[in-house]
Amino acid sequence: MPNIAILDTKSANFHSVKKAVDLFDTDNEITSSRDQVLRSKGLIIPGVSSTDTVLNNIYESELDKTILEFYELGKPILCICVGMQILFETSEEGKLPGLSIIEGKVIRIPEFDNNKNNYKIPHMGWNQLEISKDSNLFSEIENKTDFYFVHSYQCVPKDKKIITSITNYSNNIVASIEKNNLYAVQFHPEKSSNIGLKIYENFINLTRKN
Amino acid sequence: MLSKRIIPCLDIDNGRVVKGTKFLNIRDAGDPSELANFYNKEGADELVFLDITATHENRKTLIDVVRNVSSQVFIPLTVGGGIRALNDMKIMLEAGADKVSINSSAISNPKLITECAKEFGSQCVVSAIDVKKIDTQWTVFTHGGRKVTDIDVIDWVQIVEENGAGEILLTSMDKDGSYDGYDLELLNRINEKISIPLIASGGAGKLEHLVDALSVGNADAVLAASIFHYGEFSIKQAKDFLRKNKIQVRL
Repeated sequence: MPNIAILDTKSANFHSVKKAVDLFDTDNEITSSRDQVLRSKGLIIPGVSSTDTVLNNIYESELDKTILEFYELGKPILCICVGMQILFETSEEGKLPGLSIIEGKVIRIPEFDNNKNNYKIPHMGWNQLEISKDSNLFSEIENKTDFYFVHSYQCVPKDKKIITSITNYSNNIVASIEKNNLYAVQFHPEKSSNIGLKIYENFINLTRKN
Repeated sequence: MLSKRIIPCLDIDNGRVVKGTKFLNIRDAGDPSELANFYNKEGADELVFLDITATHENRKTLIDVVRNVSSQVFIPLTVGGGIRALNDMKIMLEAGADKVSINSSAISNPKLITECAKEFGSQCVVSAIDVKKIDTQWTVFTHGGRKVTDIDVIDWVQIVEENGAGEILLTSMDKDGSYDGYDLELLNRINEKISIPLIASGGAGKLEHLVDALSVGNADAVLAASIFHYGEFSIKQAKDFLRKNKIQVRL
């Protein structure tokens, strides 16, 4: 069984994620097998494309149950971008219900800020993290470091205490959350150069603690 | 605050970077992976690889380049040149590209953009556009600037956005290689018409030109080849200069 399972949701950029994970733990596999996932020490849910595409693949292959089971085992999970958005209850991007592991919704990024300045959507490029809460995921990462974002929708968790960082665009966008053994980031650590790789290293270290 | 991006462009022929391999040591190697690693260390925000011949053989070497670079360099990679069908894009994404730029093929078949965006998401699809001013009209050219169309770029950018492009890479052929600055008027005119990010290309000769494109021209990113390849400026110098001029960049 692999140490790290990278969930195959059929539409993600799991190649880049795998290449990043390979740097720290080559014992990893892109998989959708329930057995493989549940027996691994850490689970990564990558995300590119739309929430409905990802959710459709997840529901069709009953991966939703696997994700929930894994979460309840208390082992670390890292969700990236759309992988984060599918954790919520609803999304304005699609019609399918989310996994509802996190209470709250996903909304379209506002095009205007409070001063009526216009912003381009998608929010694409490097933006600074404002770390609001200590997280093992951010070990040795300085506040205000740039990470690479590309998304048109943003997560609005009901419980603000789970927010570990935000980034500022047309409004404050939730950049990461942490709930028990669940870690989720809106940015792409696998595209955020060496500092992004540090996130993978930190996550893999977490999986080794169990 | 979203940082403005600096994107070095690597023209690939036969597995080598062809622009500016002659002048500095780093380029004597002429090796795309080495150059990609070097630019990543210097703080490049993304990289663009352009297949300048778009021949069958060159395509194969380009795929190897992308595969190789993407396992070492963890910043967004865009690949372009000769993308004609959904499957061309799929092959590049599987090799490790994050975005694919479509140019000539979109002119003959604008639905190609829609098809690619639907399959892989708009964020993957960059519409590359080469433009030259003829009388008063900025006219779109295809096939590496060899073929003229009758399309006004002001109309074309709106069409590609409607079709699902996630970003526009705009090259001014009038300015390309001129070293006398980006076409700021063109950038502004385009920016008024679109709500997706705009990458300015063609004309960078001094660091002031980067500042102008990003502030006066309001571009979201600047693409440059010559000024970095020929070693006139490093990316770090460029970023320091931008920061001094109050432009937000990633350091």
